[in-house]
Amino acid sequence: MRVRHIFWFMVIMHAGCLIPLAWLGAGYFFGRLGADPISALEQFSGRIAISLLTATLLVHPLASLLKQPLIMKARRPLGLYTFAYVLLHVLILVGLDYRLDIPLLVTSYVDKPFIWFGAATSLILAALAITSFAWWRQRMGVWWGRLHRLIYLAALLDLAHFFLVVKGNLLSLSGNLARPSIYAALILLLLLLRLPVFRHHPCPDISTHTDDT
Amino acid sequence: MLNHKYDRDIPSAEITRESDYLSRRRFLKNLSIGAAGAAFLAACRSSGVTQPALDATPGSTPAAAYTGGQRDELGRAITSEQSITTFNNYYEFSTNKDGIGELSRNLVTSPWQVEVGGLVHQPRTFDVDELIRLFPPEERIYRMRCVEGWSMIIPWQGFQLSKLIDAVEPMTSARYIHFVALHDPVQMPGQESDYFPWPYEEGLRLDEARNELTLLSTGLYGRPLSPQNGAPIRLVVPWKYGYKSIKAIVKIEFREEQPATFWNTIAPDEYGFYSNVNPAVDHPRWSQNTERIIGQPVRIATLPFNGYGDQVRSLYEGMDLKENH
Repeated sequence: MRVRHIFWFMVIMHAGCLIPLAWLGAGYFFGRLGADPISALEQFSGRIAISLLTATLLVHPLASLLKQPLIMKARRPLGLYTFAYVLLHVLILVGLDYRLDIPLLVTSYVDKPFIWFGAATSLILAALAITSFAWWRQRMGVWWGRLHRLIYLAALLDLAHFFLVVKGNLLSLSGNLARPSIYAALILLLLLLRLPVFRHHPCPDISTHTDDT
Repeated sequence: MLNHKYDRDIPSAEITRESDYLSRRRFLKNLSIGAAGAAFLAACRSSGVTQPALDATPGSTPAAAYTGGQRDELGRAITSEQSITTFNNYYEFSTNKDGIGELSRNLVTSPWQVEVGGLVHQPRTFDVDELIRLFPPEERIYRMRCVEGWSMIIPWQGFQLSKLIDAVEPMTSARYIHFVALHDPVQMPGQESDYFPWPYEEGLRLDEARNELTLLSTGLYGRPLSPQNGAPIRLVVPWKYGYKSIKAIVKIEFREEQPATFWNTIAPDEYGFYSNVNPAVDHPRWSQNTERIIGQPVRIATLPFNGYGDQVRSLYEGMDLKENH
């Protein structure tokens, strides 16, 4: 892959991240999101967020597998887009659905586990987004990498949030579990790839040559 | 404090006007007039309801005319037909609410038979057309509160379930009614999912089923039900969460024991047998204290028994409604 190729790769990545936003915005303003547009916005923004989170996790293994370190350039923007959709998801809930009625939000959700899993995911992603700048990276040294490994925790918390928010029962494997199950399978696979056994290239953005795959 | 806030947030159009309140009294009166159908039923019984098809005029399916009611007895405006027919929870077809209309378009709903049996003296299989002839549809504008936190106000046409119950003469041992929906994975692609205990089944206590509010619906907005709304015949129990109102019924069985119900089988802690709308009892995973009426952007406070407390509260006297949620 050459620089020219990575340019188009990045163009497609940015477009892929922005099109859902445009689609949502247009759908909302032109009334094309069905009978309950607020729920549609909440659910759709959440699904995009967990999709992008999965895509962010996919970057490193993909770069290793394809031996294309330039792909790593997509990781930071994907992570930031993930956070942007998480933020949108929260703003829709708080601003549109609950009309900034914080006391009502608190009484409605304070004892509901799904909201805390979601909130923890958001906080981790916020911390990662803020510290994603080069300035922070230099400042934090070895701690930067350690902090950013929390994205795996965020992914697991996000999965719990998703499983708890759909109707069904994980223990009896019944209910509306198909969608979160797909994300769970993908994310767990990507977590598995982080185990030392599978990690021949701890830093593929530097090492490009491999013959032991 | 919260409630005060809610009071302020309710649009003036939503506040019950005195005229509406009065018409509500009339509505309740009409319900009791509906019992005049009992005379008809008495006739049925004496003539032997085992063969009512012979009494009914063939080919004359009464049109369930929508009389143009625009508000329920609380003064809430009815939901648009567009929303009612395009926003459906019907997992037999899909978990995608806006896809049900298209996926269910070719569901064969005629001819359709409903087997009524179990602990009754007059077990029978009815054709839906026949049910409509025997029990002419009346209009009921009911609120429908979904457990997911949204609601609609729907102008149904249908008949009181109590009429059918009287017609089949339950035995004294009958305490519950079990409803079963169509199981046909060829027509209902969602039933191929192993995540759900098909077929959909529901249940009511006999006294709940006999309540004047409990309806078997065959139409809405003056038209026969669309497949996505539960054609050709469905239950409507307006003081319970929407999932109790089972669609596409093929079997009604009277029992002594409490029947299993679809969502209760899936997650017993989350979906009780009674499932009365109750803002004081949260779903374990989300709150039930407010709802958004489809088509309106503002949350409103959810009412106990979905606002039908006067008609149904007595059914649960002495019961712990948290325990029996």
